[in-house]
Parts: sequence; structure tokens; C-alpha cells
Amino acid sequence: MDTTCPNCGATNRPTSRFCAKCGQPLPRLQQAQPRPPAPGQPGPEQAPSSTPTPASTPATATPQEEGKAGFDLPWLQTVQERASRPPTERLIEQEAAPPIPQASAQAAPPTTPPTPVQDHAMPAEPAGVGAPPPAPTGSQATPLPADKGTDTATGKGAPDEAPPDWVVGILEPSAASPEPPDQAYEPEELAHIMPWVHGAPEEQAHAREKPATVPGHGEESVQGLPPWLRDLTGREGAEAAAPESHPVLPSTSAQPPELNIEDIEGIDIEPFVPPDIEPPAAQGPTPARKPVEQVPEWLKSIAPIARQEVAAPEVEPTTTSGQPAPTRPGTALPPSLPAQPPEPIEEPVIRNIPVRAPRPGALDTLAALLAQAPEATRRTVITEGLFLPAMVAETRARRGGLLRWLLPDGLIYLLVLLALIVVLAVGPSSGELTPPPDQGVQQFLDAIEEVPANRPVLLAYDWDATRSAEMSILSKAVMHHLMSRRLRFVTVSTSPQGPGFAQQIADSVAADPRANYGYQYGREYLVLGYLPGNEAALKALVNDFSSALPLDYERHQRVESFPLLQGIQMRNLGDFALIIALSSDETELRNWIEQVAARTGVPVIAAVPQSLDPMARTYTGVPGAGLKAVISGPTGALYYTRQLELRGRIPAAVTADSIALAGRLNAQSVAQLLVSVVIIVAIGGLLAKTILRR
Amino acid sequence: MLNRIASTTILVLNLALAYIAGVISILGFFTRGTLSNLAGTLAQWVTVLVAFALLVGLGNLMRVHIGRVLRLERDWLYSLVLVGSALVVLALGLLGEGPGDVTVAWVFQWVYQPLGAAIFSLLAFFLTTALLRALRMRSAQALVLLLAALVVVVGAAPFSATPPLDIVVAAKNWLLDYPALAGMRAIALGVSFGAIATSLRVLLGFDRPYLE
Repeated sequence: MDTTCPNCGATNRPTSRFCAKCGQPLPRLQQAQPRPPAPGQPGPEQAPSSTPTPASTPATATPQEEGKAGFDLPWLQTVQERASRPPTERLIEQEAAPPIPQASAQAAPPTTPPTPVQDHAMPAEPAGVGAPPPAPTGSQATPLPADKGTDTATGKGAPDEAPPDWVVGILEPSAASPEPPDQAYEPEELAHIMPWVHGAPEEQAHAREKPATVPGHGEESVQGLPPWLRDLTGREGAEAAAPESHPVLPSTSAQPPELNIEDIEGIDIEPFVPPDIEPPAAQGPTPARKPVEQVPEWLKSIAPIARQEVAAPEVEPTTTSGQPAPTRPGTALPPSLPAQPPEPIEEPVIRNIPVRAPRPGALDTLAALLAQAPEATRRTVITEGLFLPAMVAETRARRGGLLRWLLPDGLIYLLVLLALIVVLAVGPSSGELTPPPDQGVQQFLDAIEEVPANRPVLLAYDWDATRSAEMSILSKAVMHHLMSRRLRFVTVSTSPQGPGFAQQIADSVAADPRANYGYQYGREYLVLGYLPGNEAALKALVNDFSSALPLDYERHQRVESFPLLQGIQMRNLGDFALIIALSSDETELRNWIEQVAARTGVPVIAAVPQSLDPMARTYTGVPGAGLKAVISGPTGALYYTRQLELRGRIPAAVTADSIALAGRLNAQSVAQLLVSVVIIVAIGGLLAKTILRR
Repeated sequence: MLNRIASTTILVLNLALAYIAGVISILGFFTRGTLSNLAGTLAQWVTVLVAFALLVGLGNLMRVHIGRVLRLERDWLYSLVLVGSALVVLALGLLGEGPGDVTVAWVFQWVYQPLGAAIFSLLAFFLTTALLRALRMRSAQALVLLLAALVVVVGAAPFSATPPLDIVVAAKNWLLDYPALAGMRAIALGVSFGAIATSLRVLLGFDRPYLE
């Protein structure tokens, strides 16, 4: 059944947690139903009782649970139960959890039964765990019974199956993580920015070793248990002795101890001060620190255990039948066990690690991260598929509509469009356009001028419709030059759209009445088709030209039947005097240079879009590359046309094309001017903002 | 057992074919004569295979989109346009004089080319706003990028040929001839070395893309 958002009324999928439209958290249907109690936790109808229930009733399996035979491991149920709850609920529980008690608050009679373990802590004892055999006397350990809460006959879980490490890490992150994760920061880096964190890995490692052996118990008291269970039993022992203590071992980041400014004095860096800690200078002289003040909170929660268990071992819990209460391993000390004094907690050793100076801005960034952010910025909602701070999302939603589109992208779009349309429509007289001189154009023109009249030229039409605005004017200029010199030429393409453009432009220039070149298809020029295969296609052309392209593109006749090939030799690419690559793609141009020019020795010149000019320049002037000259873009085409006019190659009537090109360049110039203004304004704004901030 | 022998034989044959073809192509690049002609023949086979692959691709494209139209799936109208336009152009070419037919050329010139150019022209607008977005990075690299773009844009414009702005043209040419050229050549060399290493791995059988 779909879920309706209470905020906007949008319909969402039943599995959605947040509204897909407004990002509001959705009410969950599962919350209305009573949640089955987790193993070891009292159900909704079963109020938590302070009376110990040593022989707890095994959990009755519902039909649904029976269907999950073999999967109702206690730890797995706990994980599933936690995973089914929304993260916000878990966060609320963590925030509402009582603060870590001090050492004085942890003294409790050992008869106090272990309180039900909270959700975010270690899972409570599984069903049936309360009925183990009586604890043996002495220091003999009591391995967990084999039927710990499970019935192997019915297939409900394997009692001695250890949970995976990652599950132990989830259930008891402080006590059960097998290996510390890789640190993102080196310890010395943490040491100089967060002194209280320094040494934390060592302390955590110490804590992982300690809980398995509760003070008062020997190491042998947990023999026979799997490693993960040793940690758990030790943990339960700590809870039994300190029932009011927080069940979760606090991590190092939970509550930083007092900042030890002296530790970083003498180092030529500015000590970092957390936002909620006043610098010691404001508090006057620093009092002498007691050793216990250096002890992290989680160590304090362990330290009193030894004292209280040694102090009150004589009270032995009994059941209603008068039998000694079953003692779980680690929950109480046997009377015969000699009391061991608590280990003195020494002051942490401060290592003299060379400290590097922090990077500029690192302390500010850290302070900003640690600072208490406003609630509005901490909340995140889903807006348009993006996780954004609520404040940003609300601002965007408020700013929606036309203004949102207009600033700043829409405004720029409109300005560019307006400039192009006005200049193209009105055609303002800006005088004669003088394109900047280009040495490549001169070389390009000279290369065509040097072609012998009796040898053909090969044109590679390797551009597609997306670049037709630039490439069509370049191609037309080249065609005019070739026809004005009465050179014969053949076109090929390694791009599927190339033959179409070759046919269109060659036919139009040949039939131009203003120039009246008198060119005929098949006699002076030939349009061959598309040759797939990229490098392999060019390799085939190099070896055998007529076999690779046996038919022409326009008339589908054999190439040898045209008069163009009668009387001249054109077996392979080496028979051409010049190759002109009209390429709009880097790969195609590179193929012509590497596969053809380098092998055949035939000179190659290229006409490319302006954006490809830097890449094409890479091969110019390199001995052996074979690329002689490059022209690019409309500016190069205009300059090329002007040079043809100056040399008398283009008839006066054809100059109309260059005039039209000048008009197009006018519009392009205005657009370029606009882009330049945008860049200048943006840079100016950035500099002004930087100066004002300082 | 027989299956294992057969699969091993097939694997060895594939490796041997790839090795022989690769060695012939390499040697044919540097020599003339038999090996070069043999390499040319192999290259022609490649072009034929690629042409057939294009046909297979066209058939697959039509099959997928015709199926979408028949099942009236989501956005089936776009599939209908694709299938319809492909069939129309195909029919024009087959019924006329091939791809160079006047009707096909008309469609190409007045339908396809304007559409392609229009799509690419949108880049001008996006580039302009991208300049502003680059500034939001507020880094020195972004500033250098924008300054270089400013020099190239102004230097490539026709109005920059006038004397006050010809300095910008010289600056643009210097940028393209030295820093940009050095960077592009470095990239080209790196790509070439990578291609050589990849080719050697394929030739020696460490990588077998032809078996995947």
C-alpha cells in the first residue's frame, strides 16, 4: 500500500522512508505494529522486572519464526531488529542515552541482576541462557552450555556458531572488533590537532584485551569459550557489576577529556582548542592534574568493577528454590577467589613524536567540523535525488520559478542568444574584418601551390554534422583553391557522414556559376565512400587503394571506369601528391598522420576546428610526422580566403562567400566579446570578494 | 577429458592466431613486400568484418526498438520515430541510386545536418556558464584556467588584430606554442607508451580480449 506524505500529500512507495517530492520523513507502517521483542528483551506486555529470572523461559517461536528455522540465531535477530528500525530512532536513542557515569555511581550490589541490554549495546542473553548449569566453585570457568537458547534438534540456529567479525563489530564495536580499521590519519597527525585522541588506538587495543578478563577473574576463567564469546562474557560481567553504567563502551570521540595544552606547548604551532573548551589561559594557572583525570571515561567504567566485586562477594544470589543462582561466567566472583587489588592506572605515557606543522587552514577546518552546527543545517532531506542540507533545499525551493532559472545561467543564455541574433539580423557595419595573421595558413596555402598539376590530391572528409558550421567553410575554401589550380582530387572518409558532406560541397563548388571552374564528376574529381575500420582501413588504403574502395559513392560504378583514373597511376596512397585531412576528431587526424603520413611519406596538411588546433599543432614541425600545416576555425578560413584573393586564385564573384563569412565572424566576435566580459567580471568579483574578506 | 583437450586446443589456436596476426601487422608496418602485402590483406579483412558488424548493429537496433513499439513500452514514440526514419532513409537509398541519391542527399543536407549542428551549438551556452562555475571553485588553478581562456578567446577573435589587442594575439600564440604544446605532446607520448604496453600484453597472451 502506498504511503501518503503528511506534508505535501504526494504518494510514495510503501518502502520509502522519505517523501520523494518534499523530502519529509514518512510515517512507517511497521511502527504502528508492536515489534516482536528482541531476544533477551522484555516484550511489550512483559514489564522489565528487577527480579532476576534465572531460568528464563525459552522464547516461544511463532509460526513465522518457525519458518525461519536455522536463521534465528540470537545475534542475527538482534542485527535484524536493529536494521529494521529507522536511523532516526537509533540516533534519538543514542542522544537520549544517559551520560557515562562517574566511578562513584557505579558501585552497586553484585546481586543486582543485569539490566536488559539496550538496543545499541551487546545483545542480551539469548533465550535460555539464563538456565545454565550452576557455576562451579573455584576459578574454573564455565563454558557456555551447548543448548544456549537454541534447539539444535529443531534446527533453530547453531548454538556454538560464532558470529562473523563484522557482526561482532556491530553489536559491540568497542569490545569485539577483531582488528582496528586502517587509520585515515597518522597518529602523529592526530596528536597535534587533537591531543586527547592521541594514543586512542593503544587504549582501544588495551580495552580489547582487558574485558575478556574481568578483574578478579583469571585468564583461565574464560577458557573454552570462543574468542568473541570471551569478550561478550567479560562485557556482561562489567554490566552486572555496574548496572547503571552505560552499556556501551564509550569511544574516544564520545567525550574528550581535558585538553592537555602543556603537552603541545613548546611546539611551534598553535594549539587547537575545541569549541566547547576554554583555553587554559582564561582559567588561570592550571591545577596539578591527578592521574585519574587522565583516564578516559571508558576506563573509569571498568576500574570500579574490581573494587566492588572484591568488597562484596559474600552475598550470593539465590533463586526461589534456595539453590544458588546460576552465575554466568564473569558476572560474580566465587568466594574462594582471592581478591586482587585493582591495578593502578598509570598516567598515559606521552611519547615524544616529532610534530609536523599543520597545513594552512587545517585547524580552521577542524574547528568548523567540530563546532556545533545549527539543527537546520544538520538535517538533510532528499530533494531532486540529492542530499542537501535542509537550509539549502528550502532556499532553493523558495527561490524557484523564473528567478531560479534566470540566475545566473538563464541570464547568460539570453545575453549570448540576443547578441548572436541581433548581429546576424541587423548586420551592423563594423568595418572590414581583418583576421589575425596565421603562419599556418601561409604554409597550408603553399603546400597546395606546390602540388604538381599531373598528380591527384586526396581529401579525407572526416567530420560530422556537429562540426559542420566550422568545417563546411574550411572545406569550401579548400575546394575553391584546388579547383582554381585545376587539380584533380579524390575524397575518402573514415567517418560515416563524410561522403555525404564531400558530395554536397564538391558538387556545389564545382557547379558554382560565379567561379565557373568547369569541373565534372568522374573526370576531375571523385567521391568515394565510407571505409570502416579506422587504422585498419587506412592500412588497407596504403597497400591497395582500388581494392579497398572499388566503387564510388555517387554512382556506384567501379573506380577504374572513370576518366579520372585513366592515364594516371593510383594504386595506393603513395601515388597521391598531397593528403588534405579535413578532420573534426582527434583520433581520425592522428590516424592519418601515424598510419599514412609516417608510412608513405606523402605530405599531409589539415583543416580542423578551432578546438582541435592545439592537438594538431603537436605534430607540426616534427620530422617524420608528415604534417606540414594546419588551419583552424572560421578565423583561419577567413584569412585563407583573403590570401587566395590576394593571389588571384578566387574570382571576384566568389568573394561574396568571404563577405558572408565576415558577417558570421561579426556575430562570433560579439559572442566572444561577451564571453570575455563574463570572464573579466567573474574574475573581478572573485578578487573583490577575496579582498573584502581579508 | 575430451572436453578439456578440446578447450585447450581451441585456446592454443586462438593464441597462435592472435600472435601470428599481430606479428605480421607489426612487421608489415616496417617492411615492404610480402609481409606488408599480407598485413594489408589482413586490414582489408578487418574492414569487411567491421562492415558486417555495422549491419548486425543496425539489425539489433531495429529489433530492440520495434519490440518496444509493439509492446508499447515507455517512450515508445521515440522508438517509433527512430524506426520510421531509419526505414525511410533505407528505402530511399535502396529504391534510388544508393547513398548518393539526390533524395538521400537532400535528407542529409536539410534534415540531418541542421539537427547535428543545432545540438552542437548548445555547447556555446554551456561553455559560458561553465566559466562561471569554474570560478566557484575559488582556487588558484581555476583562476589560471580562466585567465588562459580569456587570452585565447580574445586572441582568436577577429577584432583582436587591431593594434591595441595584438599583444593578446601574441600571448595566445605563445600559450599554444609552448605550454599547451608541451602538455599535449606529453599526453600523446604517455598514450603511445600505454598503447605499446597493451599491444604487447595482447600479443603475448596476457590479455585476451578476443576470447571474452
